[in-house]
Amino acid sequence: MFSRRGRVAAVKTKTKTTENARPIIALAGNPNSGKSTVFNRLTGLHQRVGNYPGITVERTSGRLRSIRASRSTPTGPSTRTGEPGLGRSSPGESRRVEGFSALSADGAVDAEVLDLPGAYSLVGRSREETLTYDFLKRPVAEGGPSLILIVVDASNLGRNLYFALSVLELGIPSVVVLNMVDEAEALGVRIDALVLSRALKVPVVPVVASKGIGMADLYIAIAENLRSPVIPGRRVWRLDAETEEQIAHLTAVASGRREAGPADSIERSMPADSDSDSDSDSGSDSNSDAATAQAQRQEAVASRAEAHVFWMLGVLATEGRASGGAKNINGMDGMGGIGGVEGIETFVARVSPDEASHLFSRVIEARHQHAEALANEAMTVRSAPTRRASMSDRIDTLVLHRFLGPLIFAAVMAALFQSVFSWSAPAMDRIEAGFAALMRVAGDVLPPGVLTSLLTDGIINGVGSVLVFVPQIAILFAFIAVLEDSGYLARAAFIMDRLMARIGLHGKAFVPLLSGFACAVPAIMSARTVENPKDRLVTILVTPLMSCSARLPVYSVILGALFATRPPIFGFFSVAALLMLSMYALSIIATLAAAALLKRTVLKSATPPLVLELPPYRWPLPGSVLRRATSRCAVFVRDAGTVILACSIILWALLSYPKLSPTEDARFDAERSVVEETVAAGPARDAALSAIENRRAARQVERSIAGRLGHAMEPVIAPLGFDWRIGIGLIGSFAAREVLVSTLGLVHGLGAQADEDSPSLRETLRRDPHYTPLVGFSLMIFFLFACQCMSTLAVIRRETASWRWPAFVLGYMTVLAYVASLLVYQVGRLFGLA
Amino acid sequence: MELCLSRSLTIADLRPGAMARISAVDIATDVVFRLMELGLVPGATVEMQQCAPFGDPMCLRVGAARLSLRRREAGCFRVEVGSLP
Repeated sequence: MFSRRGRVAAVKTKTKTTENARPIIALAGNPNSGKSTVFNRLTGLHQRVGNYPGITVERTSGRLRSIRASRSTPTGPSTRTGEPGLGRSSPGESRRVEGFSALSADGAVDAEVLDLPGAYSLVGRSREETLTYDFLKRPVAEGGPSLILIVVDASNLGRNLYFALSVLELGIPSVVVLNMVDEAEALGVRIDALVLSRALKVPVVPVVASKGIGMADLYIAIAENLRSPVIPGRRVWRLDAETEEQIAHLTAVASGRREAGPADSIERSMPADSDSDSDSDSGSDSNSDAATAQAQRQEAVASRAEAHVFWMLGVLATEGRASGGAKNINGMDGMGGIGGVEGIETFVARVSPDEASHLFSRVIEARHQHAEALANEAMTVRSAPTRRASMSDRIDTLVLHRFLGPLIFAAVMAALFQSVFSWSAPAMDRIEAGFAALMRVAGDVLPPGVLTSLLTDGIINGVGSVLVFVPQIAILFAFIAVLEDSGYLARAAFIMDRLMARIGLHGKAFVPLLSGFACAVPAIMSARTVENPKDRLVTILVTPLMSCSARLPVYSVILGALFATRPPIFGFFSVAALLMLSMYALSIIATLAAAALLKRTVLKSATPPLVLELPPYRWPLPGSVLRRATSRCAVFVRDAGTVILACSIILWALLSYPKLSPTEDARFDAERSVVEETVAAGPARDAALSAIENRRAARQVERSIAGRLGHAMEPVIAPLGFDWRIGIGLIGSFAAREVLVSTLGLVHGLGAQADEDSPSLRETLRRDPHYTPLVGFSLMIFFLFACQCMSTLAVIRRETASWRWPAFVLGYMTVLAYVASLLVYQVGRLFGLA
Repeated sequence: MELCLSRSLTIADLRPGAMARISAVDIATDVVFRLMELGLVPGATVEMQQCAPFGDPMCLRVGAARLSLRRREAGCFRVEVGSLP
């Protein structure tokens, strides 16, 4: 069936790049069915993470690696059904065995495996949700799947078969991967793969992906099905006669059956196998085989047309329920419906949402009944569940307990926060110190000049400011992977749902918001645990308001310089501590308010439905945890890192150019030589010289573009109590908030090495008449609300795949910060606090 | 789709530990379809397990799976108690 020649021709006509040169194997299945574990087993380390064009769902793919039978799996075809607990698998066992022995002589299969997002249904309301369907039905020539692996959780067979059936109805060559047969055994259930395979008319391969059992069999089944695909037959479950008739009628309508019949419009979407009789390179196809193949193909076409009707009914029903009309259905079908747009329009005109609801619920019921019946037929209950099976329930009596549950949740979240906040610190310090040392070395070794400055202050500094995020991202994602894979994250969302639903967010949004206290960058990336796209977006947009750890140095230099000497309130509360606390309180209030506001305005949508499975507790696999942490870091460095690097080079240029005029430079040189002549060598002279250099640097910054911008900005920021020096600080700290401290040090002639603890900076600020406590408070408020962080914007761009949202965040946060600071300063002045 | 039977029980009325069979589904929102696709179809047996600590979402056993759903949606699934297999 699958002609190599046909595929090559298709690729040529489509002029697609190397990606399409390999057949694509799509992995589909319910969430928690172990799909990603199967994917990891099939691809090993050869994985690529990218984005689907136009939507924010991540596309994880990898090359199929050759899997040889190992110790844990039986080797030969004769023994491969001998694994205890693993039943037999294929509908045409004997024929398959012959085909496969021909294959093993020739070796590896070159194919790309694509891990689709976990789904319970093909029907969805957004493009993100309907991605699985959109991708699966795509023709091979347009990058669609040559083979679908449907991963099925053997310990929850009935429910998983429901999804498997709806995928099989698409009439695309498929293999069912019966995963976690060990868990089913632990539940006292044995599943006969042969029964399933006969009923579903596709190969069924029992595996335990977490232990690698059965993967060699799966590899063989894949290889063989790429050679001679097994197209699943038509659905066998039946609706009542009246409904059947309606469905048949609608199928005819939707596939635009006019003169040429449905096949005409649907043919395009079939795999590029229309020249199946030319499939002589394998040399085994007889004429009767070709005839059967032809019949199979027509069946598949009919099956797919019907599946499309089911899908449209589903979309129409859910969309109709949600919005009172089928607004989206045409838009959704713009992704390439079967039968063409005309058919769809007729369809929408012909079927009311109520009718669609009725028909679709009939379809769901009938398919479920069949799935359950099939599961019961294939299962033999052998024994009472073992202790391990009831373990999940027992853990849950603690974890979901009325009082203990929230306590455990708080403890887990505290551990998560602690790990991101503190455990990452040593690694981050080391990276910062390393890059500082590298900058020094490069500065010493290379001749002074523009290029050296670009290299050290621009590039090395920029790379350092990218890599400094890596420890936090790695730790946060490792933690989340553990929470997710163990099954706890679903419980956490379950516990938090009541509270989070009040502000219109999903329970899972708690983790990114909490992480926002450490750093918005990993927190925004972790918002992907929220499946619903709109809620994920809201979470991303408000997370930067959480008071992150980079704001701490800013608070602490202001508090240290301007508030430390205040007498405690009631002789007990230090003003600085109260202000610090109020910053955190304000940030939480602002975040929640912004989320509630966004949910009611820009991103108006209903409170996200809580349809959540509480999967059984499982031990996370270290390999998978590690892989997720590293792949997240790689994505960050690659996608957001480049933007951050570019921004830091621009900022370097703004702060370094234009250089001082020769006359001014000469004046500082003259001062130097005076000191060198009059003061004897020693600490006093060094101090005097470095003071001159610091003043030169301060003058340089003032004359730079950033300095001029700071001056130009003064009228705008003066109502907030800021002068041009703070203006320069605002520009410089766009690199990262804590840079405000060193920029202020630079501007005040203390050199760039000043940090929030240096007494000289505090002293200078304290003595400067411009910096009143009111100005300090206004500045703190500004930094609390403003998005003074290019990395946050870069990562929002990465996660939302557009510049629109980072621009929105920058805009709304800056306006918020400006208004809040304005209020603080002007009201404060009214009360005579200036 | 079904006639509204007065005073009929829904999943939201079940106490923890109670078993019931779904008799009919009131399709009020699109979420109901999702739940149906997850196995909450007429004829399915469910066991109410517990409520979340803050009261609202509830946890059900449906076949081998455990689902959580809010009361609002649970009220759309009408059930019969008693005479269970």
